[in-house]
Amino acid sequence: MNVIRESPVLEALAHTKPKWGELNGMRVAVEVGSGVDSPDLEIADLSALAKLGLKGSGAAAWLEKHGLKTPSAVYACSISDTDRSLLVRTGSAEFYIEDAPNGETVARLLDNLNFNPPDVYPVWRQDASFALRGKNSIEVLAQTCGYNFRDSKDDFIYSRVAGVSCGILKQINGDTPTFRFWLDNSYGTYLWEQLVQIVHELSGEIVGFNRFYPNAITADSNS
Amino acid sequence: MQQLAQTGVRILAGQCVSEAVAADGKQGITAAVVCALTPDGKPDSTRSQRIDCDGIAMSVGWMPQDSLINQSGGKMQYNDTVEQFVPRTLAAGVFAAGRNSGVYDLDAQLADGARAGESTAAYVAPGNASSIANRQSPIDNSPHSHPYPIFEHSHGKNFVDYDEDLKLRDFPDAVQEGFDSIELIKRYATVGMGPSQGKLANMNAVRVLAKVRGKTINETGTTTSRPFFHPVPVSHLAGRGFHPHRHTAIHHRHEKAGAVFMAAGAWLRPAYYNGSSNRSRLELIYDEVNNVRESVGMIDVGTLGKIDVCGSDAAEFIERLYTMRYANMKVGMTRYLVMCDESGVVVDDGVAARMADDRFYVTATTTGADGVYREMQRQALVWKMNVTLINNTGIFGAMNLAGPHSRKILASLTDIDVSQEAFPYLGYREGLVAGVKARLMRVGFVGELGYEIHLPANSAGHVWDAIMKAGESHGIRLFGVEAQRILRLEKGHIIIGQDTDGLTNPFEAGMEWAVKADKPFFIGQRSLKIVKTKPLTRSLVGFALPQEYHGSVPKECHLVIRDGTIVGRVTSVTFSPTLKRVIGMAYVSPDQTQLGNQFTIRIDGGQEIHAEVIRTPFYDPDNKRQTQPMQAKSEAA
Repeated sequence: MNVIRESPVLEALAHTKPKWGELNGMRVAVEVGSGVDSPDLEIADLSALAKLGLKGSGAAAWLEKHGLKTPSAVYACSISDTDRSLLVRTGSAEFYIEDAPNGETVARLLDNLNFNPPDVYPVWRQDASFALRGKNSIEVLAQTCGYNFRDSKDDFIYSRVAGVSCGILKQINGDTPTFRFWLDNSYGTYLWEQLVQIVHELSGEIVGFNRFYPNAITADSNS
Repeated sequence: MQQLAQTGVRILAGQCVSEAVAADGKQGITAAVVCALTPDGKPDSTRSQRIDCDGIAMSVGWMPQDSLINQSGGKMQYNDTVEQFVPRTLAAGVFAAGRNSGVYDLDAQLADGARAGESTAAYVAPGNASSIANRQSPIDNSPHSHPYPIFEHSHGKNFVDYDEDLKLRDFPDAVQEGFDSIELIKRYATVGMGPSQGKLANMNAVRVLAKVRGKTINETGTTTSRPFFHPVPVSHLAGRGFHPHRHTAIHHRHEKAGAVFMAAGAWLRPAYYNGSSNRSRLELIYDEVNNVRESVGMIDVGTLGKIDVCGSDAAEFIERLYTMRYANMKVGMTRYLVMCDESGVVVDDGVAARMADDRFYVTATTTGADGVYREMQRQALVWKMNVTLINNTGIFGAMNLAGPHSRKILASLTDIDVSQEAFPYLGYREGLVAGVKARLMRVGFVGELGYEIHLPANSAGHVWDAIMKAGESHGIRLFGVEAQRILRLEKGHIIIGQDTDGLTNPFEAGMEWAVKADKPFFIGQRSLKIVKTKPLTRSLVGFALPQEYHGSVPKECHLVIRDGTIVGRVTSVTFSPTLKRVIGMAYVSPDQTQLGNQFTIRIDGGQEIHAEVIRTPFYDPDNKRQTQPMQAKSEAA
């Protein structure tokens, strides 16, 4: 294992005595607890997913050139049918790309950025990235964020959660909402503690990475 | 009180709650320590008792709801009998009654209300207004509030304002810094500006300030009451309170190293390390200073602002934002940055590294980072320039490896040629450090051979560990902000916001060299051209106390006095472990700046001491430590 990256909530996760694994050079809490139960409300750290930002007036055309279809509207997002990578247009000339666990889009784009394309500038995103899922997840947002997600159809917004600026993606799978959060990693520990406290109050649990991406990461045999 | 006692409640007169004993986990309390008060109103810890309990109810006393009286033009004055403000004069047609006027007995309140009501009715009757005079309410003859609210605990926090987390200690500190009136202290310390809008804290703040200054409450006065006035609904205060704070990528390593943290904006930074050892705070700090000077140290500087400025107009953009020249910078070099506002006041500083013809990496101060980035975003739109801004403040971790051994340690971990020739002072390089892509700058805030290493935050811990491991045999030790402040002061480097204030221009701060007035444009240039034509009113100088001086050391914000008037203030001061004397910086009158000139500082207790103007840098004035690094002490031996 070549671990050279750390999640901003590594220490907090260590207290849950998880089964550890590794993804993209980062130690990952693969399973927390038994990993069998399905709590009504669950929160996980997904900071290990490969991610990249791009800014600049040439960014949209450059992404298209490399096979990514860019959303035309700001804050619109798309998920690739082929490798499940996420692409969000975070501004008129800025984008956020995040791979699914075994995706290679970010690595491919980084290779091509070595040629310094004009007016395309990489943003070495180091976000803390969390996922919150369950029917009570709306209640967590209601206690921490001024935006009303109950009636929202927006898929991606920027707002403040517990006082911290976050990108928030709402996804509905059947009746179960899932929220993804991206934030400056320096606020990661703080926001994680706030969210986990509320999740516990609502009888929810911290879960491992594989709850959101089943079998994506193999746990270390000695963890 | 008698009725209360008859129900079996113990009343401890002449005593105070000295301490709330925290329960495990600090989520509640488990006992109160109650002390008898000495005749001069201090808790006597030798006469204390512990009372087990899970809550302490606290009263801040009565405070009149006098905003409408004040706003209508009435005046209040403190009444020592009821220990509260009562109306001294009321505006025509305004009639006060009840507790606002110091009337607490129910029958007396009813009579007082009837009196005020009758007066009001008579006042509004046609033709009567001028003949209706205000009559004094029948003020109670015993106090309903304690004359003084806070009893100092030797190591407690002693909160005065729970909204704003203001402690008793903040008041003498504010007074020392010159904010010695209730109006100034309100604005400086924000007392009374929280959700309760002064209802909990204002009266006690006045009492505390009066005591600190040795004045009466009437001499101390109150703040101005401005419209509009309404109570804060409790519902506004309900719910969760959020207080976001930031950790650098190294935070947990600092904790494990015994860091004592200090707040820097929203960040927590190590002030110094090994706080749990038996050694004193100053001994620990001086050791950290000495280790940087003699061997090698590392400090986490991840809180610095870090901004990429990219695009074909990047150089021109920076030229306009900052006072020096940047368009002529070579790729691979760094240059100091000074930012002024439109009025020519110094607002931030940092370093610009030229990464490519169209790319700069710009640092900003920890507390100025957000403001600098906002200003950049605004000006990019206003000037319609082809620049792309990337805020890397949270994206990059950063560490400064400094000291005579720093080069050897870094050389063992990087693919960059770090020799003096290949990577000179003020150089900028990119490469791998411990296998991680990094940006390196040879800058020297602390005045030693040093490397600032910036790299993606998620990998900062890995690189930090690698440097510490590689540095073990070279005696590497961590140093915190306190040691850094001493090191930079020895080197004569100023800190924006400490050695400058909200009015300081570069000429006063001795930074004229950093102002290139002949550039076509930079923010503040027009104002500075006007300022330049006028005589200076103050100048920042380095000073030292005599080596044999062993008296009280001046503190920051102590005043520089000449002929009984204030001509300046101390901005930074410390004992220098390297130079073995007290050194500092102070604003003095421009005609006092000559080297060797003596000037007077008024320190605590009104004592006046003499300091001598000294050339800065105090340490290594020829900059040989950075440009011609010498051997470490252990190697030279």
